[in-house]
Amino acid sequence: MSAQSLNYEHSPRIKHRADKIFAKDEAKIHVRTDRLFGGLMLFQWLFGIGCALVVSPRAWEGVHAQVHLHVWVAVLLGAAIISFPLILVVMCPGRRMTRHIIAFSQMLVSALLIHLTGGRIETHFHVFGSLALLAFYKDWQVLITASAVVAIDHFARGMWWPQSVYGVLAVEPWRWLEHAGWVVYEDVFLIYSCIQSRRQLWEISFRQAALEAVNEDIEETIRIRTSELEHTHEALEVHRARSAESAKMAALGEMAAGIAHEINNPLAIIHGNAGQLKEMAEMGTPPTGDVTKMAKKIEATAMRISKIVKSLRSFAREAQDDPFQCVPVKTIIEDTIEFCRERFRSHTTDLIVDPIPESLRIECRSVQVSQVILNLLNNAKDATETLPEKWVRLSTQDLGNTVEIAVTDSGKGIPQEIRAKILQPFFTTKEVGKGTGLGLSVSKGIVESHRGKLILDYQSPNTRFLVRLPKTQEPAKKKEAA
Amino acid sequence: MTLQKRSLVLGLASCWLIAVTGGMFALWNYSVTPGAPAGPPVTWPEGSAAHRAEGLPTLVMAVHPHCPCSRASVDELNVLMTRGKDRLAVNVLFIRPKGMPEDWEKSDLWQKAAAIPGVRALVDVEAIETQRFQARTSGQVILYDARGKLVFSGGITPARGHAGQSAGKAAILAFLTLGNLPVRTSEVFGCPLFGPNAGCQRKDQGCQHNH
Repeated sequence: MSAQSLNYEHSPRIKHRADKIFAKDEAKIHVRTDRLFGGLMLFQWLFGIGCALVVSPRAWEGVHAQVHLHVWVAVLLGAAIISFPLILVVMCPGRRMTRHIIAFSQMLVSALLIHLTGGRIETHFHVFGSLALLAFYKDWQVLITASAVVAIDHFARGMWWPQSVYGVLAVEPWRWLEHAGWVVYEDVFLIYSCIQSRRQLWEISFRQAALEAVNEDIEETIRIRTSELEHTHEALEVHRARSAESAKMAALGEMAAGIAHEINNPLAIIHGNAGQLKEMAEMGTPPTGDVTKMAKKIEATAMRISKIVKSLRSFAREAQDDPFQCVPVKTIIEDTIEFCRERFRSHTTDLIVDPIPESLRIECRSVQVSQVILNLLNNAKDATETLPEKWVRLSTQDLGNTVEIAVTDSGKGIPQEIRAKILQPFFTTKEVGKGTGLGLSVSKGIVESHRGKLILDYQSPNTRFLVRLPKTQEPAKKKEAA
Repeated sequence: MTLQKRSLVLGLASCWLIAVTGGMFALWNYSVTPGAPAGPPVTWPEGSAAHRAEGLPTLVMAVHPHCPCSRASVDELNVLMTRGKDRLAVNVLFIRPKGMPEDWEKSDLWQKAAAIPGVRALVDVEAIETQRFQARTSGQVILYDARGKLVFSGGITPARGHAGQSAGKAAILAFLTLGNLPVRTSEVFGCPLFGPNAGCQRKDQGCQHNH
């Protein structure tokens, strides 16, 4: 962090930006102070008129009175003094010339007020107050202009009208320095204050520039990281799709034997019946009833084979872009069981399917849901292979807005040490070459794409996986539409 | 800034500078232009209503009760009295010209002067006493020594209506404390005590009016 700060400190880019911020802030201060003096000038003008009206409203000559010259001076000369700075405040706010003219005018206002209040010593503080106000500009040169006006005023009047300033007709040539010296005394502190203020303002600007640079760097880093993440995400999606496909193909491979068996049995039935028909035909006139019965048997068995092949074709194709359709849960489960019933039978594992209500329906991609159920059933079958008691139970439950499909086997649950990893990709407890380690993770992805959950039920005494799927996908559709 | 705008600003600046410089010059000139000086008798005038203390110098100040410029003169008299209270008898003559109502002279200046310890404020009906001392400008100070001899005549402000150090005040203070006078006259700043059309009641005294 400190090395970073050091880099920023010496960065020309940040210095350049800091200079810009500083110039902008300084310009704001100048404009604001110009406006302040604009208002102050007007106020002082009115105040001067008020002073003249109170202190010297009328001049007398014996019994004759007329408006005192001070009143006219307050109105006319006062207006003349403030007019040009006010014009500049409106026309050229923030410009160097404007604030120097204001400084010049402010000192003239001081002189005018001193006159109008009868040269009261108290009014001389207006000069010092004005200098302090001029320091608001944070521009020490303005103070020099104002002080020069005071010095020149005292010098000039000391030369030509010494009595008006010093009260005596003859003064020492250096006398004006005594008066100007007190102004300089104040100037020293005000100039120091101006320089310090400007330095602080620049430091603030520099810090702001550095902060902006840090923010820009962070934003750039975020942009790069986001881009990298997007690429990674895309790669992951591709990989996940391939994994899903691999898992499905693996499942298909595993099914192949069972399906072959599933088809072999009906084929044997067909073959047997066809042979009997042939024999009966060779013998002469077969009984019509028997022929019809055998033909029906052949037809029903062929239909069964056709159904299995149809399901297999459906299962084997890409399903991720299928539309969501409202399908009876019973249909999905029965179609899935078609793929594995024979395998369960050949492995002497009892497959128990609890009754499924006809009315229970879910909006889903049925092929994908079927893939999940098949995967869970296959896993359950494999897990019970070495157990003395081998059974797998499939049950469903209506949870209101959700349907729960539970696959329970006779195993005693997943060991605690691998529970956290059981749903991770490429994690498998099966022996090498038997499992890809993708089945559960792909199933989890499918269930989640249905806004559902795949849960390992820790509460069950047996190994039990729960698939919870919403009955409808309306909220997801609305979200996509939005 | 465009050339046109710059020219406009330059033109305005020039006009402004001329107007302001001229105005300030006129104001200063007005401030330092003295009024008509007095021509007081060289000895204390017999028959004067003003009080003259035995063994003390006597100061007479003539004031127009409504002259705003004389406020500074009375203020300076106040300053003077803080150092010369027991060394000086002071009379401030407030003129009430002919035809002016009673109490016309009781202005804030009167109150101010009367409040100064050791100062005697006097109503100068028809300005008889003022003319006796031949004062023509409000704020005129005339100082006689203990023997009744004129020692100083002038003003005690540095400019019209301005308080502060002045040659007149310094001279009187020097006389009171050191016994000598650096100057015997000084310029006086204030309103004319008599109007432009007011004829001098005593022509022999060379009465003139300052405008």
